[in-house]
Amino acid sequence: MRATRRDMLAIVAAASAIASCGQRPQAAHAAQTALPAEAAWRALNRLSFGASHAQARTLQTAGLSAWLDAQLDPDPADEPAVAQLLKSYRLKIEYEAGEVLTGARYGARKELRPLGAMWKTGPELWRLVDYTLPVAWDERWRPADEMRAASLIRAVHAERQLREVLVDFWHNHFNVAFYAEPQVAVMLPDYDRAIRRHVFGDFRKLLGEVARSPAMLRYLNNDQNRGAPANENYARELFELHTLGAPAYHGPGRPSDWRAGYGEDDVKAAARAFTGWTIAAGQQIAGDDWAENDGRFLLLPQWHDFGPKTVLGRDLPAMNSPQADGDAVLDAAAAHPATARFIAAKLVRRLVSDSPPPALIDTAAAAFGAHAGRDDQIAQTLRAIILDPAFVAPSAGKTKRPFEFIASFLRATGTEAEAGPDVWLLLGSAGWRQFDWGAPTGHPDSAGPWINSNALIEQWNLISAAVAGLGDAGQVDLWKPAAEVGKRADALAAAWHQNMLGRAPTPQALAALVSLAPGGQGDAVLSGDSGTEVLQRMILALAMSPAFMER
Amino acid sequence: MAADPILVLAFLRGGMDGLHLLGPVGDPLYAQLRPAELRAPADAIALPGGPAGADFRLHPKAQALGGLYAKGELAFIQGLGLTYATRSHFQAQEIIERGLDAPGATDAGWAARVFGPLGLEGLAPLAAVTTNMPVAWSGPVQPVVMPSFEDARIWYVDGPQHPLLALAGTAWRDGPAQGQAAVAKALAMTDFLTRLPRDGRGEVIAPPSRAGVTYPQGDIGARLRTAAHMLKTGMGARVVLVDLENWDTHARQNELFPDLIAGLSEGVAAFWADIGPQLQAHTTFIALSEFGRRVRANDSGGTDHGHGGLGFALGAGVAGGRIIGPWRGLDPAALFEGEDLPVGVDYRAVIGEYLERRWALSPALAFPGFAAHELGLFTA
Repeated sequence: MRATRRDMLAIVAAASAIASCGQRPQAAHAAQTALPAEAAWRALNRLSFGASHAQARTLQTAGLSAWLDAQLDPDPADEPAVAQLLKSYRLKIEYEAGEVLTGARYGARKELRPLGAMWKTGPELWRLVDYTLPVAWDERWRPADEMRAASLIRAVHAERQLREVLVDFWHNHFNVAFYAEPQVAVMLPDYDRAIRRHVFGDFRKLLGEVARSPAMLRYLNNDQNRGAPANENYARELFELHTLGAPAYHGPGRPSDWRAGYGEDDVKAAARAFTGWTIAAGQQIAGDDWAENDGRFLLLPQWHDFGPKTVLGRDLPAMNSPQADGDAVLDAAAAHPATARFIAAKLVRRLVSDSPPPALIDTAAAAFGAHAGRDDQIAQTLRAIILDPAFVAPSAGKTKRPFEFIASFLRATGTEAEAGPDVWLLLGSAGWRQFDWGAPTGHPDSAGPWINSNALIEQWNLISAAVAGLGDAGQVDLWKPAAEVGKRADALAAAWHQNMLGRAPTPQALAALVSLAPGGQGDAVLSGDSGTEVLQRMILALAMSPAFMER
Repeated sequence: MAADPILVLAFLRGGMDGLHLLGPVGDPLYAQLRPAELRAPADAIALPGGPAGADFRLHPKAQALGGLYAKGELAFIQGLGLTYATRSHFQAQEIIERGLDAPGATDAGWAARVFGPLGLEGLAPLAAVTTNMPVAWSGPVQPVVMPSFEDARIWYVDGPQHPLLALAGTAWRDGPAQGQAAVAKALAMTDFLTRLPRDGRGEVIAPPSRAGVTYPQGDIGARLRTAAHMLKTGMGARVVLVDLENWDTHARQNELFPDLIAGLSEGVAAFWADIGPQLQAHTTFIALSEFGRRVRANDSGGTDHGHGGLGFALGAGVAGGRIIGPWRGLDPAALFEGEDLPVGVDYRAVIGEYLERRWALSPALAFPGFAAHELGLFTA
């Protein structure tokens, strides 16, 4: 494969972007472990929101290990280039004048506004659910709207792609649905920051932050968990979805050996342990005692069930404080052997295959267990998966889900993400509800639920708009390769094939694309509106192919 | 077997609180265990034909369902659910959609196992009105999945026989089987919908509702309207799975639930009127949920996950005007684990009897190993 001048520039740009975000110095000699082009493309498709030509070259040269060093950088701050994109981004907001319940009025707005709500602190965000303030509903949903836009911009443009993939993984693992409750919507930026702080870190710390986050407390009703009977919603999902996993559920009672998993009695006892974990939301605590209303995490002994409890084989003594009780449950759940296996299996499923190889799960679970309590526990688990020979071996790929599909399309076509409201409408119709999957399971991570006529149609509609210069996802520069390869139909078809699928077209594939040109002639020179339409169709045909749907 | 039976099966996802919709107001424990705003009021709609000794009343927001019941077209099923003890939404839904009695793996969902091999004709004999492929359709079938009618085509393709359709079809000829079938269906749907009438902006005009039919605002009404339109447009829909969501009322149930059941009740009545007498003669509508909710309310104005639930069946072959299912009252001794309604009617008995009576299909196809028992809910 001949490297073009454009490729070289892209490599230099990518390498300097990585260097600017914490590249380790050993990259040069790691070139010994260089990957074949095909393996690099496959690995990138699994570890990123879509392989791009430039990043594939970087990975090929650096090798997986060195590439991972840069990717596993724990710094939660956005890279300078991404920070600049977010800073210059404008997201529309538009509403009529109106009034709130108290009669206080707010004025109409129609503007392109910079991202602002997503940088606010928790207590600042919480003010948005004070319904006495003259604030429009669109302002109350604004933090979630901004988070959505930022998520696509980061997925498309971040060099540290694995970080964004893992942020998405944890958002789904610890799913909250913002549309269910305004409190969840306003606190979403706070929740995202918690996930980003620990994305590669200590699982127990991540779990603890999630348990104390107003978004999760409200989403699973733990903030209203008081007295008897306790509200079981959070405790049940904690075991079933966040830690031990459904395979460890033993139904009524509890298993005789705690190592076997958990049962109904564990759920009930854990629910009691979390009584009194809530949000300072101005609620009545008891009698004349009222909570602050700043959205901070709050422990209320007045709401706590002080009786003795047994959870996952641990005895929690009577009169334990709410904090001691809840933390003991989180400690026990995070350290349970079923949790290591459950998290390992989910990571392997996300990064490798819908049918995770059991040996690779074992490897990952062992790494997860061996690094428990360390600030690089998740990073080391990822390293164990990705550097295992099974990882780069050819195998049946995963199917891109709608968010991955649109992000990878923008990356492959070198298009700047616009991330306007239509993106979320169409992704929603395709079944992808970013930060708003209703059930606490998060979006399913296997091909089955996504391969249906409806999901395909809606994803294709999203990219149809992007090639036609309409819609909100971004606008593809159809003619970009012409500067280098000229305007012959066959040359442009080959260039787009290379950009989108990482390899030159076979003669049959080239012939199929060229058939879209006037007269079906490869030497036809494209120009004007008819040429634009031919290019639109070529790019759509490539994006609609099985090869592009796979990652 | 009835001629060309049509099944519309609504899954009320999240665990519908049957005790709030249909309340045993004669049982003094009902008022003791639940605050007034989580009960069907004592002066709610009386439903004769319930279990002996019980006084079941229908929540006033569900008046339209009461009307269908009074006409003998609709039957309620009390204590409906899974016999397996799970209070997990995810697990209970999985078990039901896979047609099992307990957690376990299957290659396909129950609906795919039963209806897939029949080779039903038409563009969309198997369908789902939802955003994601339901587990019940997982397997070697290719249902049309569409949340609404208006947006179920490729926007770029502005007319039949567009070159992109041929090209995409060819590209997938060597692709994976499930993808191949999905793409073929997406292309066929697009081709079909581009032939339907358009409005001035080029949008597909959804089939109009029958005169005088109004669907309620909201997701439930919209989904049921889509289901009705699938039956009416000549797409050949025979089995339509409809997801109706948001029943997980752990808190603020007094605010959420009345709107949900009003949407359900008015939506089902509008659906039924919309499809008209000819389709009504073939069509059976069944609604179920993964479980009911705890008898006793929690301390946050809601109810937690329970066990036995409430469902209903309407239409062709339904022996209506009755509440079926054993009823033993709310005394803790009669309850499951002392706190939830027991499951007296296995979900498989309902669907199994329907399959047997209306499709002349063996329930064992859907539910391997299940020993069906007579409910008398459906006639041939």
